[in-house]
Amino acid sequence: MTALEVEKPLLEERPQPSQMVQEVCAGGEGGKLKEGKLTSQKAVERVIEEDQVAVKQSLPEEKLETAKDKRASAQKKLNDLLKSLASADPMPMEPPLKLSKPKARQKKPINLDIQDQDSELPQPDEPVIEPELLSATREVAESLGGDVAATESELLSTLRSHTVNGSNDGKSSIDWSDLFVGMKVERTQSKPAEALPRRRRHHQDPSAQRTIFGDGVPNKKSLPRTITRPDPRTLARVDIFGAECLGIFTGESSKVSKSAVPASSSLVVWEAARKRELQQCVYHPPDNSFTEMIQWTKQGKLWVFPIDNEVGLEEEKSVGFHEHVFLGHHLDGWCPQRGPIRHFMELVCTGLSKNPYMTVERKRAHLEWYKNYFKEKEELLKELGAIEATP
Amino acid sequence: MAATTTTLLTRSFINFLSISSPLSLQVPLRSFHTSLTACKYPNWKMIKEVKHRKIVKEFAFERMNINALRKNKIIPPAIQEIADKEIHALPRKSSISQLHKRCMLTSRPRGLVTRWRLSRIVWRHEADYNKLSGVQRAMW
Repeated sequence: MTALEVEKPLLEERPQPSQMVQEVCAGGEGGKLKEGKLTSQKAVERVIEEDQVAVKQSLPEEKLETAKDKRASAQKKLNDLLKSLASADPMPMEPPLKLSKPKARQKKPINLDIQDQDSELPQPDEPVIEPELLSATREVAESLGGDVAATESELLSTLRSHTVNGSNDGKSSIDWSDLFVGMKVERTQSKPAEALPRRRRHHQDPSAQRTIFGDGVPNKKSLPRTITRPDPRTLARVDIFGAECLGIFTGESSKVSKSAVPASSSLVVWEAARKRELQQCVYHPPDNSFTEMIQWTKQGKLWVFPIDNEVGLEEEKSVGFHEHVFLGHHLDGWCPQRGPIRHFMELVCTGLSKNPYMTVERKRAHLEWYKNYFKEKEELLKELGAIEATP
Repeated sequence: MAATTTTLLTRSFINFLSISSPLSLQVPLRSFHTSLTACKYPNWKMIKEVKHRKIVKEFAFERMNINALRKNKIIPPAIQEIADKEIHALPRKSSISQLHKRCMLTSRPRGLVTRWRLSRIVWRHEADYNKLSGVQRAMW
């Protein structure tokens, strides 16, 4: 728009705010109003502000036109941005890094004297590839599929490399040293046996910080759970045949003196106490009442079951009843044939014969006692007339 | 005197040491006070009773014979009188009637159940715990 065109409307009339409002509504700024979010009041306010701004600028008609142009340019810019966003290509890829690849080393042939090797692998005898091999490679390439020519060419190249390298050596020498040329052999000194850690968990952090924490109490985990047995590797070597034989188990202990104190010592009480202590070491009290009862039964303190009424009277079984019953012959020789003594003694014999609980010896002893008693009283008895004074 | 007492004490102690050992290792010794009598019975009265009974056992044979002479009408009375004197001469404690029974466990002088040699209280206790054979609570 030229300046002349701009000047014309200014000369005619000054646009009034109502007209400005209409224009604004019609213009691009109306998008906001069209949204409907803004209230009518706000819209009016905004419009008024714009109107004021526009009024300041709108003194010359040129400024109106420039505002329109600006608006249009801004709009255009917006549109362009949107278009660019919509049809934006992905981030342009930077050129990929060229990483170094390992060189394609030439495989050295290992000439082994293998007779059963298959003919699939090329024999390094002839530099020229045999026509059979060529046909075989062609067939392989065809079977694999894909790019037949490429595969065939690759196979042929490998074949050629094999033939070139291994053609000269016809010997069957095993060059193992070639393998180990590039390798370095680690030579570690033989560690002493003591240095080998026996329990690695405790050697991890030997510092005291691990064992004792802030409490001052040793950590349970750090303490060894099990009893650490003496390392057999650290124990001193003992020569079992170095010293003299003690003869403890061969019965030669009698030669060895047991106690330094002589047998005839004045320490009688001490000796007795020592003996008692030894007995106590050997003897163990019964585990429970059952074993205690068994012990008592063996000692004879308890009844043996099944109960036998004649326990302790085993000897009486051998004695016949005639010895118990017929005791009259014990009166022979000393007892008078008649008289009160005889009467008394017969009663005694009858009573004893009826007694099954007495032993025969005791019965005889009773009779013997009476014999002695009456012998002492013989004179008195004679005076009384109990015994007949017969020659 | 002191020396003899000390020797006696040591001997008794030695005997105690040797005899207090387990019963399976008992060694027979002939000496006095070989065991602590006080530990065997619940009471000193009981210990006296035990001694009494030992004397009774010692003279039981003689006493029975003499009593047999005394307690009949066959033997001439003169001899029976002599027998009376003889039996009177024997120690008083040798008489069975002089014994006073006591409970074996508690040494109770009265209220005894003769067959079991126990006082009535102990007898009841043992019966309740089924320790007396054939004894049952009466119920009819």
